[in-house]
Amino acid sequence: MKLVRLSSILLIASLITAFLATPITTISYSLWLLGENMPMTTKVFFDSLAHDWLNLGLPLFFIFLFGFTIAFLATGFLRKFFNITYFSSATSYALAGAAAVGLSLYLSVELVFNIQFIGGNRYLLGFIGHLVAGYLGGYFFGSFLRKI
Amino acid sequence: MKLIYLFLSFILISNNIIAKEKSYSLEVIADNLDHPWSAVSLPNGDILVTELPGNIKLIPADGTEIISIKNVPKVLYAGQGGLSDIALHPEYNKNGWIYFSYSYYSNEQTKSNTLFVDRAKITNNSLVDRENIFKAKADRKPPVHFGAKLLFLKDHSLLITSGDGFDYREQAQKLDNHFGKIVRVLDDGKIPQDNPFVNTPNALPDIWAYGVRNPQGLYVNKKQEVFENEHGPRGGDELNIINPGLNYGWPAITYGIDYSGAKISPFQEKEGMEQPLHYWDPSIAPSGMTIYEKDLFPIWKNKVFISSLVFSDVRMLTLDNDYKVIKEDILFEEIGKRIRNVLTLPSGEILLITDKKNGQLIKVKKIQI
Repeated sequence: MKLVRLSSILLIASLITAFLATPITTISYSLWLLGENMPMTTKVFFDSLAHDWLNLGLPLFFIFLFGFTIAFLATGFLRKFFNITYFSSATSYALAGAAAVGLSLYLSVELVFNIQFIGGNRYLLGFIGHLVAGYLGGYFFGSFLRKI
Repeated sequence: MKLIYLFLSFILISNNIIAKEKSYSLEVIADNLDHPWSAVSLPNGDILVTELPGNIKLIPADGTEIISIKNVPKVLYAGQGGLSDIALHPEYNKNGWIYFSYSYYSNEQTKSNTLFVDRAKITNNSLVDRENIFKAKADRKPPVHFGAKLLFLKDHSLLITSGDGFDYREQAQKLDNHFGKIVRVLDDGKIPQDNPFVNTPNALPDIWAYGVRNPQGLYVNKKQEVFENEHGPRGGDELNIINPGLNYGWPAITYGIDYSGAKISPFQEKEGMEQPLHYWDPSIAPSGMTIYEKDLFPIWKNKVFISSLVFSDVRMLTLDNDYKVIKEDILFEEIGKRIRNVLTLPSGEILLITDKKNGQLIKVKKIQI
């Protein structure tokens, strides 16, 4: 039962991060289109966002799920065996989440011809936004972990 | 009555199948090529082939051993980069110039790279008198989306396609760089004074058309219409007719989405931006292109042939008088390999180039019935 709960919060943490990270790409594309005098209305933006949540959100979810699984296992291991208490559980997992997202994005570039497949990650602000999304996903995981 | 109708239908279908099956044969004229990319037929029937890692091979028409041309410049063979297209000067018989495109570092320390076009002559199976005639102002880190197609126009000016570099796609809408552009230079690399942006402030004077993504096919027909195909995003590969000074819209308008799934632009048209003649969804990854204007295969006359990397075949498009694609046939799927390029040879035969290691040159020959 504990494993089911653990898996559930891992899935939800990944989902939260994908949900928060997706609009970074949508916003970055939309801002450029606005700058090109394209008729970007609020409705068009939200249509694009809905599309991106369904289409970009899904691959991001799996990427983050993979990254979180490794990062959270490592964090749990470090906290248990090295008795790291400098950070609270929530903060530790939040930092691990941010690191997992950062590493996932870095590897996604390095492994495929140095291409930025995630459009929102092409700018520093976008990259930081992804880290924040990873931090919040990890924070959620760390907070609920104590309640299992 | 029904039986007669069925019988006649059977006869017609059978004849079609026989005509299709027996109209051509495929002959491998060279194999074990290393990532062949493009080829050009010399006046004596020999064929020059480029290999992406940086080789030019001479395939003698008499079937003797393949010759490696020496003194080819070092290229950046990485990602999609390397030695790419090759073309003969329209007066090659008089001046001996061959032109070739390749990627290389624009700055070896920072590993920035870009597209180059050189010309040289071949003497004793070696490149001599090499000159650089074009270096794209499109420095990039990822070695992808170079375009790199070459095409001589009737006036001996040279069209060069320069891709958007993937990460720099927004630059395709700006005229101060070569990302996502079609460039036109004279045969010595100088700027033609009738280029459309020669007098536009802050625009590069060699730009001929803009707003393209990664053009991989370029062909000029007898009416001097320039056809271009390009790798688009997912579901957005395009066939265009390119006219000088026009904006082809990428990435402000597109029929495709990012390979990540994100919507690049919710817009598919805008005033002042050109529509494609045709787009493919799903993408076919169009590579080379020729329009069949010879007489050897009368049934293929004026059809547009586009090789497809994804589906390992050649798409034969029939266009009506308004350039609308009214039919798309699939040819040469029996080869079963990614087809990198398709060319019409002076003899009227078609030459196919298969991709990757162990690439082949395959001649499509007429079967005389």
